[in-house]
Amino acid sequence: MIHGLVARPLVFTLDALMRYPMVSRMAFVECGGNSAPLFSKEPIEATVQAIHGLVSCAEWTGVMLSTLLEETGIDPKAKWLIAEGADSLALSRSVPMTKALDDAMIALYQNGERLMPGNGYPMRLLLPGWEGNINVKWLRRIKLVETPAMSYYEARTYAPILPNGKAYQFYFLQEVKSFITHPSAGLKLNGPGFYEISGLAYSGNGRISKVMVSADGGKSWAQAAMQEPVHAKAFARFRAPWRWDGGPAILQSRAWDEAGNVQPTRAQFIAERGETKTVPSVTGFPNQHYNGPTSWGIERNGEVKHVYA
Amino acid sequence: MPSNRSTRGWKDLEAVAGNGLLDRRAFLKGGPVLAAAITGYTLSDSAAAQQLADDPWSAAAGNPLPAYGVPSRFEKSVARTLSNPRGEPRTHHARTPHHLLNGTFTPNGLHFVISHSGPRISTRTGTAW
Repeated sequence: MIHGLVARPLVFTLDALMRYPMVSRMAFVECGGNSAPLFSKEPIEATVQAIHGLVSCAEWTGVMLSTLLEETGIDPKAKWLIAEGADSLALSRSVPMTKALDDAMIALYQNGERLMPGNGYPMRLLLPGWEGNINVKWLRRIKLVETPAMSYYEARTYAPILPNGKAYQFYFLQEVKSFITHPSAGLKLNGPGFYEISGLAYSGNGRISKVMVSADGGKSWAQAAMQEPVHAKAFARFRAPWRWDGGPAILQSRAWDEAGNVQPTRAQFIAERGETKTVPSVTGFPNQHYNGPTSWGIERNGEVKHVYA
Repeated sequence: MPSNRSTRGWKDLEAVAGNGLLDRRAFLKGGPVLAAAITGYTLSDSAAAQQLADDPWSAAAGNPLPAYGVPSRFEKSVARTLSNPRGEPRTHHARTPHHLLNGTFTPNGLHFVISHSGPRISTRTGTAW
Protein backbone atom coordinates (compact mmCIF):
# COMPACT_ATOMS: atom_id res chain seq x y z
CA MET A 1 0.00 0.00 0.00
CA ILE A 2 1.21 3.52 -0.77
CA HIS A 3 -0.64 6.26 1.12
CA GLY A 4 -0.14 9.47 3.08
CA LEU A 5 0.80 12.59 1.13
CA VAL A 6 -0.22 11.23 -2.27
CA ALA A 7 -2.95 12.21 -4.72
CA ARG A 8 -4.38 8.67 -4.89
CA PRO A 9 -3.62 6.09 -2.16
CA LEU A 10 -3.26 2.73 -3.90
CA VAL A 11 -2.99 -0.92 -2.96
CA PHE A 12 -0.65 -2.91 -5.20
CA THR A 13 -1.25 -6.65 -5.11
CA LEU A 14 1.68 -8.86 -5.96
CA ASP A 15 -0.08 -9.82 -9.20
CA ALA A 16 -0.52 -6.14 -10.10
CA LEU A 17 3.15 -5.39 -9.33
CA MET A 18 4.22 -8.20 -11.64
CA ARG A 19 2.58 -6.36 -14.55
CA TYR A 20 4.59 -3.16 -14.14
CA PRO A 21 7.76 -2.55 -16.16
CA MET A 22 10.74 -4.03 -14.37
CA VAL A 23 14.44 -3.24 -14.22
CA SER A 24 17.45 -5.27 -13.11
CA ARG A 25 20.59 -3.98 -11.41
CA MET A 26 23.51 -5.24 -9.37
CA ALA A 27 23.66 -3.92 -5.83
CA PHE A 28 25.43 -4.83 -2.65
CA VAL A 29 23.48 -4.76 0.59
CA GLU A 30 25.52 -4.21 3.74
CA CYS A 31 24.48 -4.12 7.38
CA GLY A 32 25.47 -0.83 9.01
CA GLY A 33 27.17 -2.97 11.67
CA ASN A 34 29.25 -5.02 9.23
CA SER A 35 32.99 -4.99 10.06
CA ALA A 36 32.24 -3.81 13.61
CA PRO A 37 34.98 -6.10 15.08
CA LEU A 38 37.46 -3.58 13.64
CA PHE A 39 36.38 -1.06 16.27
CA SER A 40 38.11 -3.31 18.80
CA LYS A 41 41.21 -1.75 20.40
CA GLU A 42 43.10 -4.97 19.60
CA PRO A 43 42.65 -7.17 16.54
CA ILE A 44 40.09 -9.92 17.06
CA GLU A 45 41.28 -13.21 15.59
CA ALA A 46 38.50 -14.13 13.18
CA THR A 47 37.79 -15.01 9.56
CA VAL A 48 36.65 -12.60 6.87
CA GLN A 49 33.23 -14.24 7.28
CA ALA A 50 33.03 -13.27 10.95
CA ILE A 51 34.39 -9.78 10.35
CA HIS A 52 32.82 -8.81 7.00
CA GLY A 53 30.10 -11.44 6.50
CA LEU A 54 27.21 -9.00 6.78
CA VAL A 55 27.53 -7.73 3.22
CA SER A 56 26.51 -9.53 0.02
CA CYS A 57 25.85 -8.62 -3.59
CA ALA A 58 23.12 -9.76 -5.97
CA GLU A 59 21.32 -8.81 -9.14
CA TRP A 60 17.96 -7.45 -8.06
CA THR A 61 14.94 -7.20 -10.37
CA GLY A 62 11.75 -5.33 -9.62
CA VAL A 63 9.68 -2.21 -10.15
CA MET A 64 11.21 1.22 -9.62
CA LEU A 65 9.49 2.97 -6.72
CA SER A 66 9.34 6.12 -8.88
CA THR A 67 7.08 4.20 -11.31
CA LEU A 68 4.60 3.43 -8.52
CA LEU A 69 4.78 6.98 -7.18
CA GLU A 70 3.78 8.24 -10.63
CA GLU A 71 0.63 6.16 -10.21
CA THR A 72 -0.20 7.55 -6.77
CA GLY A 73 0.96 11.10 -7.43
CA ILE A 74 3.04 12.97 -4.85
CA ASP A 75 1.84 15.84 -2.68
CA PRO A 76 4.66 18.44 -2.86
CA LYS A 77 4.64 18.59 0.96
CA ALA A 78 6.00 15.02 1.07
CA LYS A 79 9.71 15.09 1.98
CA TRP A 80 10.07 11.59 3.47
CA LEU A 81 8.41 8.23 3.25
CA ILE A 82 8.08 5.61 5.95
CA ALA A 83 8.67 2.06 4.76
CA GLU A 84 7.18 -0.65 6.95
CA GLY A 85 7.86 -4.38 6.95
CA ALA A 86 5.40 -7.17 7.72
CA ASP A 87 7.64 -8.90 10.27
CA SER A 88 6.48 -9.09 13.87
CA LEU A 89 8.15 -5.81 14.85
CA ALA A 90 6.83 -3.98 11.74
CA LEU A 91 10.37 -2.72 11.14
CA SER A 92 10.01 0.87 9.94
CA ARG A 93 12.50 3.30 8.45
CA SER A 94 12.21 6.87 7.13
CA VAL A 95 13.57 7.47 3.63
CA PRO A 96 14.11 10.90 2.03
CA MET A 97 11.97 11.38 -1.09
CA THR A 98 15.12 12.27 -3.06
CA LYS A 99 16.36 8.68 -2.67
CA ALA A 100 12.87 7.27 -3.30
CA LEU A 101 12.77 9.04 -6.66
CA ASP A 102 16.41 8.35 -7.52
CA ASP A 103 17.17 4.61 -7.55
CA ALA A 104 14.76 2.97 -5.05
CA MET A 105 13.28 -0.31 -6.22
CA ILE A 106 10.58 -2.68 -5.02
CA ALA A 107 12.69 -5.81 -5.49
CA LEU A 108 10.89 -9.04 -6.41
CA TYR A 109 13.74 -11.16 -7.80
CA GLN A 110 17.24 -11.91 -6.52
CA ASN A 111 19.82 -13.37 -8.91
CA GLY A 112 17.02 -14.34 -11.26
CA GLU A 113 14.72 -16.13 -8.84
CA ARG A 114 12.13 -14.79 -6.43
CA LEU A 115 13.59 -13.28 -3.26
CA MET A 116 14.79 -15.70 -0.61
CA PRO A 117 12.52 -15.74 2.47
CA GLY A 118 15.30 -14.28 4.62
CA ASN A 119 15.86 -11.50 2.11
CA GLY A 120 12.27 -10.27 2.22
CA TYR A 121 10.06 -12.60 0.18
CA PRO A 122 7.86 -11.67 -1.54
CA MET A 123 9.18 -8.10 -1.80
CA ARG A 124 11.62 -5.70 -0.23
CA LEU A 125 12.65 -2.11 -0.60
CA LEU A 126 16.05 -1.84 -2.27
CA LEU A 127 17.97 1.40 -1.68
CA PRO A 128 21.27 0.77 -3.46
CA GLY A 129 24.34 1.76 -1.44
CA TRP A 130 22.44 2.45 1.78
CA GLU A 131 22.73 0.55 5.04
CA GLY A 132 21.03 -2.84 5.05
CA ASN A 133 18.44 -2.14 7.70
CA ILE A 134 16.73 0.56 5.62
CA ASN A 135 16.25 -1.88 2.70
CA VAL A 136 13.02 -2.93 4.41
CA LYS A 137 12.16 -6.60 3.91
CA TRP A 138 8.69 -8.15 3.71
CA LEU A 139 7.61 -4.67 2.70
CA ARG A 140 3.90 -4.01 3.19
CA ARG A 141 3.40 -0.26 3.44
CA ILE A 142 4.87 3.03 2.28
CA LYS A 143 3.51 6.27 3.72
CA LEU A 144 4.57 9.66 2.38
CA VAL A 145 5.05 12.22 5.15
CA GLU A 146 6.57 15.63 5.88
CA THR A 147 9.00 14.59 8.61
CA PRO A 148 10.80 11.36 9.53
CA ALA A 149 9.17 8.93 11.95
CA MET A 150 12.19 8.72 14.32
CA SER A 151 11.68 4.98 14.52
CA TYR A 152 13.66 2.66 16.81
CA TYR A 153 16.19 1.74 14.15
CA GLU A 154 16.93 5.34 13.20
CA ALA A 155 16.69 7.01 16.60
CA ARG A 156 18.58 4.38 18.54
CA THR A 157 20.35 1.49 16.83
CA TYR A 158 21.63 3.12 13.69
CA ALA A 159 22.57 6.47 15.20
CA PRO A 160 26.29 5.79 15.86
CA ILE A 161 27.82 7.73 18.73
CA LEU A 162 31.04 9.68 18.15
CA PRO A 163 33.91 10.17 20.63
CA ASN A 164 32.66 13.71 21.39
CA GLY A 165 29.33 12.31 22.58
CA LYS A 166 27.36 13.51 19.59
CA ALA A 167 25.76 11.00 17.23
CA TYR A 168 25.31 10.65 13.55
CA GLN A 169 21.67 10.38 12.60
CA PHE A 170 20.34 9.28 9.22
CA TYR A 171 23.77 7.95 8.31
CA PHE A 172 22.45 6.03 5.34
CA LEU A 173 25.48 5.68 3.13
CA GLN A 174 27.77 2.65 3.09
CA GLU A 175 31.05 4.33 2.24
CA VAL A 176 33.89 3.11 0.05
CA LYS A 177 35.44 -0.08 1.43
CA SER A 178 37.50 -3.10 0.44
CA PHE A 179 38.91 -6.22 2.03
CA ILE A 180 41.07 -9.10 0.85
CA THR A 181 39.27 -12.44 0.75
CA HIS A 182 42.17 -14.57 -0.60
CA PRO A 183 44.34 -15.11 1.29
CA SER A 184 42.61 -14.36 4.57
CA ALA A 185 42.43 -15.75 8.10
CA GLY A 186 41.80 -19.48 8.06
CA LEU A 187 43.21 -20.00 4.54
CA LYS A 188 46.75 -21.32 4.91
CA LEU A 189 49.41 -20.61 2.29
CA ASN A 190 50.98 -23.78 0.98
CA GLY A 191 54.62 -22.80 0.73
CA PRO A 192 56.36 -19.89 -0.96
CA GLY A 193 55.65 -19.00 -4.56
CA PHE A 194 52.99 -17.38 -6.66
CA TYR A 195 49.63 -16.37 -5.21
CA GLU A 196 46.78 -14.27 -6.46
CA ILE A 197 45.67 -11.74 -3.87
CA SER A 198 41.97 -11.18 -4.45
CA GLY A 199 39.21 -9.30 -2.71
CA LEU A 200 36.06 -7.22 -2.84
CA ALA A 201 35.61 -3.46 -3.10
CA TYR A 202 32.38 -1.45 -3.16
CA SER A 203 31.00 1.99 -2.50
CA GLY A 204 27.52 3.35 -1.86
CA ASN A 205 28.61 6.40 -3.86
CA GLY A 206 29.02 4.62 -7.20
CA ARG A 207 31.68 2.68 -9.05
CA ILE A 208 35.03 1.62 -7.65
CA SER A 209 37.71 3.42 -9.65
CA LYS A 210 40.88 1.93 -8.17
CA VAL A 211 42.16 -0.53 -5.58
CA MET A 212 45.72 -0.53 -4.27
CA VAL A 213 47.22 -3.54 -2.52
CA SER A 214 50.13 -3.68 -0.08
CA ALA A 215 52.15 -6.70 1.07
CA ASP A 216 54.26 -4.78 3.60
CA GLY A 217 51.61 -3.35 5.90
CA GLY A 218 51.00 -0.19 3.90
CA LYS A 219 54.58 0.96 3.29
CA SER A 220 54.36 0.42 -0.48
CA TRP A 221 51.44 -0.19 -2.79
CA ALA A 222 50.69 -1.80 -6.14
CA GLN A 223 47.57 -1.15 -8.19
CA ALA A 224 45.29 -4.19 -8.48
CA ALA A 225 43.58 -5.36 -11.67
CA MET A 226 39.80 -4.84 -11.64
CA GLN A 227 37.45 -7.49 -12.94
CA GLU A 228 35.27 -5.85 -15.58
CA PRO A 229 32.53 -4.83 -15.73
CA VAL A 230 32.58 -2.69 -12.58
CA HIS A 231 29.02 -1.79 -11.60
CA ALA A 232 27.96 1.17 -9.46
CA LYS A 233 27.06 0.33 -5.85
CA ALA A 234 28.02 -3.31 -6.37
CA PHE A 235 30.88 -5.66 -5.54
CA ALA A 236 33.98 -5.17 -7.66
CA ARG A 237 36.54 -7.99 -7.62
CA PHE A 238 40.19 -6.93 -7.55
CA ARG A 239 43.21 -9.14 -8.12
CA ALA A 240 46.93 -8.66 -7.69
CA PRO A 241 49.71 -11.14 -8.55
CA TRP A 242 52.05 -11.79 -5.64
CA ARG A 243 55.23 -13.74 -5.13
CA TRP A 244 55.50 -14.78 -1.53
CA ASP A 245 59.10 -15.35 -0.47
CA GLY A 246 58.09 -17.23 2.67
CA GLY A 247 58.83 -14.39 5.05
CA PRO A 248 56.43 -12.36 7.20
CA ALA A 249 54.09 -10.14 5.20
CA ILE A 250 51.07 -7.98 5.94
CA LEU A 251 48.43 -7.73 3.23
CA GLN A 252 46.11 -4.75 2.96
CA SER A 253 43.83 -3.22 0.35
CA ARG A 254 42.60 0.33 -0.11
CA ALA A 255 39.82 1.41 -2.50
CA TRP A 256 38.83 4.62 -4.28
CA ASP A 257 35.42 5.34 -5.79
CA GLU A 258 34.47 7.40 -8.83
CA ALA A 259 33.29 10.25 -6.61
CA GLY A 260 36.90 10.57 -5.38
CA ASN A 261 36.32 9.08 -1.95
CA VAL A 262 39.11 6.97 -0.53
CA GLN A 263 39.03 4.35 2.18
CA PRO A 264 40.59 5.93 5.29
CA THR A 265 43.47 4.28 7.12
CA ARG A 266 42.44 2.63 10.37
CA ALA A 267 44.26 5.34 12.34
CA GLN A 268 42.37 8.09 10.50
CA PHE A 269 39.08 6.30 10.97
CA ILE A 270 39.58 5.58 14.67
CA ALA A 271 40.65 9.17 15.35
CA GLU A 272 37.30 10.34 14.07
CA ARG A 273 34.98 7.55 15.19
CA GLY A 274 36.70 6.07 18.22
CA GLU A 275 37.47 2.51 19.26
CA THR A 276 36.44 0.26 22.12
CA LYS A 277 38.11 0.43 25.55
CA THR A 278 38.03 -3.35 25.88
CA VAL A 279 38.00 -6.15 23.32
CA PRO A 280 34.36 -6.86 22.41
CA SER A 281 32.88 -10.15 21.26
CA VAL A 282 33.37 -10.79 17.54
CA THR A 283 29.59 -10.89 17.19
CA GLY A 284 29.04 -7.70 19.19
CA PHE A 285 28.27 -4.39 17.53
CA PRO A 286 30.25 -1.75 19.43
CA ASN A 287 29.69 0.76 16.61
CA GLN A 288 28.79 0.99 12.93
CA HIS A 289 29.94 1.93 9.44
CA TYR A 290 33.60 0.90 9.75
CA ASN A 291 35.19 1.36 6.33
CA GLY A 292 38.90 1.36 7.10
CA PRO A 293 41.25 -1.37 5.86
CA THR A 294 41.64 -4.95 7.08
CA SER A 295 45.17 -6.33 7.54
CA TRP A 296 46.09 -9.99 7.16
CA GLY A 297 49.42 -11.01 8.66
CA ILE A 298 51.17 -13.87 6.86
CA GLU A 299 53.37 -15.97 9.15
CA ARG A 300 56.37 -18.02 8.07
CA ASN A 301 54.37 -21.26 8.29
CA GLY A 302 51.78 -19.83 5.89
CA GLU A 303 49.10 -19.16 8.47
CA VAL A 304 47.09 -15.99 8.08
CA LYS A 305 46.18 -13.90 11.11
CA HIS A 306 44.06 -10.80 11.55
CA VAL A 307 46.38 -7.96 12.62
CA TYR A 308 46.44 -4.17 12.76
CA ALA A 309 49.04 -2.32 10.70
CA MET B 1 61.20 -27.40 -6.10
CA PRO B 2 60.77 -24.85 -8.85
CA SER B 3 61.97 -26.00 -12.22
CA ASN B 4 63.98 -23.96 -14.68
CA ARG B 5 60.68 -23.23 -16.35
CA SER B 6 59.34 -21.41 -13.31
CA THR B 7 62.59 -19.57 -12.72
CA ARG B 8 62.36 -18.20 -16.22
CA GLY B 9 58.83 -17.04 -15.38
CA TRP B 10 59.90 -15.24 -12.22
CA LYS B 11 62.58 -13.29 -13.99
CA ASP B 12 60.08 -11.83 -16.45
CA LEU B 13 57.63 -10.72 -13.78
CA GLU B 14 58.18 -7.21 -12.55
CA ALA B 15 57.85 -6.47 -8.84
CA VAL B 16 56.12 -3.11 -8.35
CA ALA B 17 55.89 -2.89 -4.58
CA GLY B 18 57.54 -4.29 -1.49
CA ASN B 19 57.45 -7.91 -0.37
CA GLY B 20 56.83 -9.38 -3.81
CA LEU B 21 53.80 -7.58 -5.25
CA LEU B 22 53.88 -7.94 -9.03
CA ASP B 23 52.62 -5.71 -11.81
CA ARG B 24 48.91 -6.30 -12.43
CA ARG B 25 49.69 -6.22 -16.16
CA ALA B 26 51.17 -9.68 -15.68
CA PHE B 27 47.54 -10.81 -15.86
CA LEU B 28 47.19 -9.14 -19.27
CA LYS B 29 50.46 -10.39 -20.67
CA GLY B 30 49.28 -13.50 -18.96
CA GLY B 31 49.83 -16.68 -20.78
CA PRO B 32 53.24 -18.23 -20.79
CA VAL B 33 55.04 -16.04 -18.27
CA LEU B 34 52.47 -16.19 -15.50
CA ALA B 35 51.56 -19.79 -16.16
CA ALA B 36 55.17 -20.84 -15.99
CA ALA B 37 55.56 -19.01 -12.72
CA ILE B 38 52.51 -20.68 -11.21
CA THR B 39 52.84 -24.21 -12.46
CA GLY B 40 56.50 -24.35 -11.63
CA TYR B 41 55.51 -24.27 -8.00
CA THR B 42 52.23 -26.15 -7.96
CA LEU B 43 52.92 -29.19 -10.15
CA SER B 44 55.23 -31.73 -8.64
CA ASP B 45 55.27 -34.11 -11.59
CA SER B 46 55.37 -33.53 -15.27
CA ALA B 47 52.09 -34.59 -16.89
CA ALA B 48 54.02 -36.16 -19.71
CA ALA B 49 55.33 -38.78 -17.30
CA GLN B 50 51.85 -40.02 -16.40
CA GLN B 51 49.04 -41.74 -18.18
CA LEU B 52 45.51 -40.44 -17.49
CA ALA B 53 43.67 -43.34 -15.90
CA ASP B 54 39.89 -43.68 -15.64
CA ASP B 55 38.69 -43.26 -12.08
CA PRO B 56 35.61 -45.26 -11.01
CA TRP B 57 33.30 -42.25 -11.54
CA SER B 58 34.41 -42.01 -15.13
CA ALA B 59 33.40 -45.59 -15.84
CA ALA B 60 29.75 -45.60 -14.73
CA ALA B 61 26.56 -43.60 -15.25
CA GLY B 62 26.15 -40.56 -13.00
CA ASN B 63 23.45 -39.58 -10.50
CA PRO B 64 19.96 -38.32 -11.46
CA LEU B 65 19.54 -34.54 -11.53
CA PRO B 66 17.63 -32.87 -8.72
CA ALA B 67 14.79 -30.59 -9.87
CA TYR B 68 16.47 -27.71 -8.03
CA GLY B 69 20.24 -27.97 -8.16
CA VAL B 70 22.36 -27.91 -5.04
CA PRO B 71 26.16 -27.60 -4.67
CA SER B 72 28.43 -30.62 -4.77
CA ARG B 73 28.50 -32.64 -1.55
CA PHE B 74 32.20 -31.79 -1.39
CA GLU B 75 31.29 -28.15 -0.78
CA LYS B 76 29.36 -28.60 2.46
CA SER B 77 31.73 -26.31 4.34
CA VAL B 78 30.71 -23.40 2.12
CA ALA B 79 27.93 -22.18 4.36
CA ARG B 80 26.74 -19.21 6.33
CA THR B 81 27.53 -18.97 10.03
CA LEU B 82 24.40 -18.57 12.15
CA SER B 83 24.10 -16.56 15.37
CA ASN B 84 20.83 -18.19 16.35
CA PRO B 85 20.65 -21.65 14.78
CA ARG B 86 17.91 -22.91 17.13
CA GLY B 87 15.57 -20.06 16.33
CA GLU B 88 15.34 -18.61 19.83
CA PRO B 89 13.16 -15.50 20.10
CA ARG B 90 15.87 -12.96 19.29
CA THR B 91 17.66 -11.57 16.27
CA HIS B 92 19.13 -13.92 13.66
CA HIS B 93 22.40 -13.22 11.85
CA ALA B 94 23.64 -15.31 8.90
CA ARG B 95 27.08 -14.33 7.56
CA THR B 96 28.45 -14.79 4.04
CA PRO B 97 31.64 -16.94 3.69
CA HIS B 98 33.57 -14.52 1.46
CA HIS B 99 36.80 -16.50 1.88
CA LEU B 100 35.16 -19.52 0.22
CA LEU B 101 33.60 -17.64 -2.72
CA ASN B 102 34.98 -15.84 -5.74
CA GLY B 103 33.61 -13.46 -8.35
CA THR B 104 31.20 -10.63 -7.56
CA PHE B 105 27.79 -12.21 -6.93
CA THR B 106 26.64 -13.83 -3.73
CA PRO B 107 24.66 -17.04 -4.26
CA ASN B 108 21.15 -16.63 -2.89
CA GLY B 109 21.56 -19.35 -0.27
CA LEU B 110 24.68 -17.62 1.05
CA HIS B 111 23.39 -14.03 1.02
CA PHE B 112 23.71 -12.52 4.47
CA VAL B 113 20.57 -12.07 6.54
CA ILE B 114 19.74 -10.14 9.64
CA SER B 115 16.23 -10.85 10.77
CA HIS B 116 14.70 -9.53 13.93
CA SER B 117 11.92 -12.08 14.12
CA GLY B 118 12.43 -14.48 11.23
CA PRO B 119 10.75 -14.60 7.83
CA ARG B 120 7.21 -15.89 7.85
CA ILE B 121 5.05 -14.68 5.01
CA SER B 122 2.67 -16.62 2.86
CA THR B 123 1.55 -15.02 -0.38
CA ARG B 124 -1.42 -17.39 -0.43
CA THR B 125 -2.92 -15.92 2.70
CA GLY B 126 -2.23 -12.56 1.14
CA THR B 127 0.24 -9.85 1.95
CA ALA B 128 -1.04 -6.35 2.31
CA TRP B 129 0.50 -5.27 -0.97
